[in-house]
Amino acid sequence: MRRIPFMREQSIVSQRARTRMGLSLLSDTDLILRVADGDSQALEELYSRYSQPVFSMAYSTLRDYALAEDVTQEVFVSLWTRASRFDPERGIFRHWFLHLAHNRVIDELRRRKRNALRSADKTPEEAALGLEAPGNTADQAVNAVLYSAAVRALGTLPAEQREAVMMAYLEGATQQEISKRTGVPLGTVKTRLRLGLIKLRQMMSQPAGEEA
Amino acid sequence: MSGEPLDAIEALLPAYALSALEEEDRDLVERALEHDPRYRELLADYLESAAQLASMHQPAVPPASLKSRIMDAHRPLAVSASVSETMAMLSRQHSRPKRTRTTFTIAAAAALVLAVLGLGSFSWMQHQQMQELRAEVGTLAADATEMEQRVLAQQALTYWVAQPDVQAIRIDPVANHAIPTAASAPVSAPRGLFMRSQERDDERVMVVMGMTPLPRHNSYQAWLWDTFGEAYSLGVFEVDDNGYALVSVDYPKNVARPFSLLSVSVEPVGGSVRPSGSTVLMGPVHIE
Repeated sequence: MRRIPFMREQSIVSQRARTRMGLSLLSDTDLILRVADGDSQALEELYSRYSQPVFSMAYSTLRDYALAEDVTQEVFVSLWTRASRFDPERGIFRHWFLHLAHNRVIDELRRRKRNALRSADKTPEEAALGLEAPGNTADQAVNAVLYSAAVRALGTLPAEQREAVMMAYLEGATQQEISKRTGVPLGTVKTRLRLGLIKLRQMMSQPAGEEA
Repeated sequence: MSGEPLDAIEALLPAYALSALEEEDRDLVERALEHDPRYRELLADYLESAAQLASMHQPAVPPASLKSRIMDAHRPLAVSASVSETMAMLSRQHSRPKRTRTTFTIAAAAALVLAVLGLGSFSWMQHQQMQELRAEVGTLAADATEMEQRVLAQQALTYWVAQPDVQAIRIDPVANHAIPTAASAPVSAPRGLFMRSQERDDERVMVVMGMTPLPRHNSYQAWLWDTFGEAYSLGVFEVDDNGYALVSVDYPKNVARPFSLLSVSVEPVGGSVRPSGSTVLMGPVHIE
């Protein structure tokens, strides 16, 4: 008598597996449109594609496994609740989503810095010393993935552009903070970030070995 | 990305792509992006570069449990299969009133069609009458469906409670909660029951009554709390216009801890990672 529900469950599982196989063939854009319609299996498929890059971003920036886990969860919760905001005509899902994730990670990093300031009543400089050393975060990432195309491309940037891009992207520094820390005018920081990103894009669109 | 001078927004876009703007500037850019496709085009290039930077993070693997935590948080609570079957069975038993209502609806619809056919000319008065008839048929059909659902839900609950080995635990309202309400929501006393039956393969259901229907941007979310005070989402659910819901309860996967409490809170639509809104109901469950 107990076999009937068991067999029914088996049938449901295989149907679910077939659905997942079908979803794995869909593009990111198709999946996010389904998520916007409330399809949780499409969310599951996007999770399998993007959980590792998002978690890696969160962990290597925050250096806290439990916090990285929470932030990754919040990023996917945002994806579920904000899916309808993605407009395929405005850009590529991967770029939009990684920006969403990066925003969340950096917000968390800044929140921790603010809390550290409040709790210890330190100057910003003292508080920065008490956290993971910002320079180390970048160095660790660079050392760990020297092989990656992104790092190779970063290596080709002039030092001042590379410094500005990495302070912003890895350390969560605002352009004003970069200006203050490096002692260069805000306008110069803006230019360095812009030129850095343009050059990165050019470098990464070139085949390996054809670096300018 | 030409050599022409940049306007203020264009100059902020690279920092926006790198999440390096102060909140005020970020808002400024987002407002500009809404209205100017030229900025969106420029941003798309910068976002591409920023997305490439994501690959330079030290690879790390998220824990296997994270996926189920995320998926469980967004799985809508569903009426369990056996409850559906019960309701279907009860529906068959009570098919006569349904036929009566259906007959009435068909008759009303036929009257409407005849009324339409009988119109020799589409005068303003006739058009008005047709609209009123159509609205009346729609209202009657909706009332009939709602009444039928209420009766079936109540009977399914009665059927469940009548199971010989059912364990029913009361979930009590939490005092002083502030709940957002839908415009037309009646205010009443929320209450709930958590029921489990060993004979029915340890099936578990939760029934809630007297809940305030929530506005569109909120959902009710059910939680199980372990003995360490950690909350696990059971999923989100909605109540009908009468504040009633009967939902199946599946324990969170990959969690071996005993659970001590069940609660229901008001959360943003789609659910939250952890309870963040007002807790409406709470009761001890003692699940090993």
